[in-house]
Amino acid sequence: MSTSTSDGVTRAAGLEVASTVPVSFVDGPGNRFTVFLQGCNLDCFNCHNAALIGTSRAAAWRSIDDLLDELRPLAGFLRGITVTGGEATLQLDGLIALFTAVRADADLAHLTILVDSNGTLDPAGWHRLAPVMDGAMIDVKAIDDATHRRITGSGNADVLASVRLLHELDRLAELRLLVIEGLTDTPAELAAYAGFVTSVDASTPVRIMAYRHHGVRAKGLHWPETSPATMARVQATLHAHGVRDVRAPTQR
Amino acid sequence: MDLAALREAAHETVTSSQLTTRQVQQRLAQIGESTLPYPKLSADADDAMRTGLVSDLREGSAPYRPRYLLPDYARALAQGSAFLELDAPKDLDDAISFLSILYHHVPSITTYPVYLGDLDVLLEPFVDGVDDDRLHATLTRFWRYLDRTLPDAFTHANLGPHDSRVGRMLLRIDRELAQVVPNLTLKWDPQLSGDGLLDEAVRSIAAVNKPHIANDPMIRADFPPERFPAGYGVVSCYNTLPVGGGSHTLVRLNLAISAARHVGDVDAYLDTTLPDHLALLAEVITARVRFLVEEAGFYDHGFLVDEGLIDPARFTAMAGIFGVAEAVSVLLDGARTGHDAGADALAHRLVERIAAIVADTPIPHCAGERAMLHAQSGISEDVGATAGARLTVGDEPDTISHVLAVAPHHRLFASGISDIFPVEPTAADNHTALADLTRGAFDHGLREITFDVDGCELVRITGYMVRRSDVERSRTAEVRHTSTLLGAEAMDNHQVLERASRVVSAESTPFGVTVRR
Repeated sequence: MSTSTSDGVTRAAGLEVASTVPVSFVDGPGNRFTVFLQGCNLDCFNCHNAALIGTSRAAAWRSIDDLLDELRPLAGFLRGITVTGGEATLQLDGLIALFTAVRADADLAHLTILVDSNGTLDPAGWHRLAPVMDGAMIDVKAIDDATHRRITGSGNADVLASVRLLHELDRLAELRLLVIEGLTDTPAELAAYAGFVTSVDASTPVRIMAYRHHGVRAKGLHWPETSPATMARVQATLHAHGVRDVRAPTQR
Repeated sequence: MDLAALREAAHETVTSSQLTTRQVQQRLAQIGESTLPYPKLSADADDAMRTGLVSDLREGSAPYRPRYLLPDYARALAQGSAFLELDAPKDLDDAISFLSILYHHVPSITTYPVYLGDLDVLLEPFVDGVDDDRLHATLTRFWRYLDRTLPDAFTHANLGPHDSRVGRMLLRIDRELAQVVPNLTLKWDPQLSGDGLLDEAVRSIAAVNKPHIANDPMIRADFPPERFPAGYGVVSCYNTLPVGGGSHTLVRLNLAISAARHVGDVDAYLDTTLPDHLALLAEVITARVRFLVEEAGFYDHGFLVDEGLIDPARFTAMAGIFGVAEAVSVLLDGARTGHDAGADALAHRLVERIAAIVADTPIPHCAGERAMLHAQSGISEDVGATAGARLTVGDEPDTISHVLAVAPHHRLFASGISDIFPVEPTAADNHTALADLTRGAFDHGLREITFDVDGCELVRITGYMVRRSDVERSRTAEVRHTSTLLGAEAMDNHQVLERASRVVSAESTPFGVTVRR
């Protein structure tokens, strides 16, 4: 299999990888090997991995074989792998090649495969990906289109369509909402968010995350970090509007 | 120590505002013991003790009780006790009452029992017909009783390997109460235990940083039933010892000092200096064991022996080592274990050599006439030598690399090894990740695993726990747990709370006669 990269050169199957992490507790259930891919098609002011948005000399092209070699000694410690970014689905061919190879490898076949995505992939892409992954975690950043544009620079119609399609394909692992005070925690936005979730499936897990300044560029710093009280209120509000499974981080 | 210094230490003890009356009495007893001469040692061994090359962890100069004692509680429950005038219990309340009484007659180096038994195995036969609500209420009272009357975090209970109502209920209660006592180990066997019990345990770890998890099939193989019919227990801080027996003493060799004293290459160290130093360790162990057994005559009398709750043939002594990381660094030009394959290989070679020598050195009055090798997890006053065979604290790689670096020598530490694996606080929202890491670690030959989840109110000092809030309080007022004072000292000496990974040295040391300032 061959695939083309952002520089237009055709090479053996592989991925433009920013980094890998062998022990991750925040990218899906259990301990996961997480691959961060370089490049994103959105430009969110709140991005905590802003270095992964464009191209980077720190990123490296890695063949599927190379990634599998890194993965194999770790396999006994892992529940699965998660590919995130950047936007993972921008490298669709490489992603499919990686997942196909993992499932075909006797030492790795037990691993569950998740994609963490902004949901902008087109339906044809999801149809190609669905057979080789266990699920996708989709960042639905806002339901109000203007708010979504303010955060990401683009509208959310594609994202919401992806969520519905993934649910139909039984590949919707969870939704992720970054709570930004004054922006995504307003009563209207939360009501709309819950309305969207319940229109898809009220039992879809919704993971709410607190906005933090760590890793964020200057343009995001004037938005406050999210307080524990806000997180509790958002969780309760989504619950009250019928979202059954709202997951909030433990406060200590 | 001269009389004036003894008087000053005693005066400082009785006038302390930070000690309970019982803690004062314990310190006075230690001051008294310190007036007796140390068992006779050669000039070289005496010098090794004075310079810290070899250390007895301030066990005292005249050993009169074993360091760790693991009574066969199952036998006691089955036969009752003539000495305690107790019949064999017939129901759950009787069984708990029986154990609660017996615990107060079990000595150890800390003066409290370091082993409370495999409590699920001991209590499960009494819970038929006891509904969940009553079981919860009864075991909650029992757990509170243990924490309030045995206020020392080296007091250790075991659970597993079989899944049981009592085991699951105790894990739940331990999570709910978040007490430092008892310390807790789950013996886990992937074949016998099932994933449900492991899930319950890691749920607790994510909340309260315990239990510690023992690789049961691996450890059981080191305590074969023909030699150790009652199996093994994990007590105090990671000390794995025969039930119905224990360890007379624990003496340790500081490998950081040992390697620093060596002149020559690595081979010469392993062939000459190291064996010489291990001989000094063996001499101190032997002197202490002989005094305890032959002069103090601990095993000659007492109901624990008379009623068969301990058997002198099931006692061993522990040959401890620590400072592997520094020794490797000294011998290999600053190479760091956990980050350099050559350093890890030398660490494994060093431990192999030590294990071979310990296995070849007769020690009197020990099972098989041998001491058991132990990776000693440090004491609060240690500075400049990393506990046991651990990687340098604060310098650990990711958990998987960490496991792969240390697992190869875990099989050699039959009486326990204490690697602690610091993990992110996000484990609180994804506790099953800890089960994944545990399974992987045991598949790779790890003997036992302890996670330290950042952010917990219960902080693991080495094997034992302290509550952050207690440590703060101990600076100005008396606290119930003796071990909290050690934890405070460890935190002061090792900046334990400031580190990303809060893992430092402070094992089951008795509180020597030096009074904490």
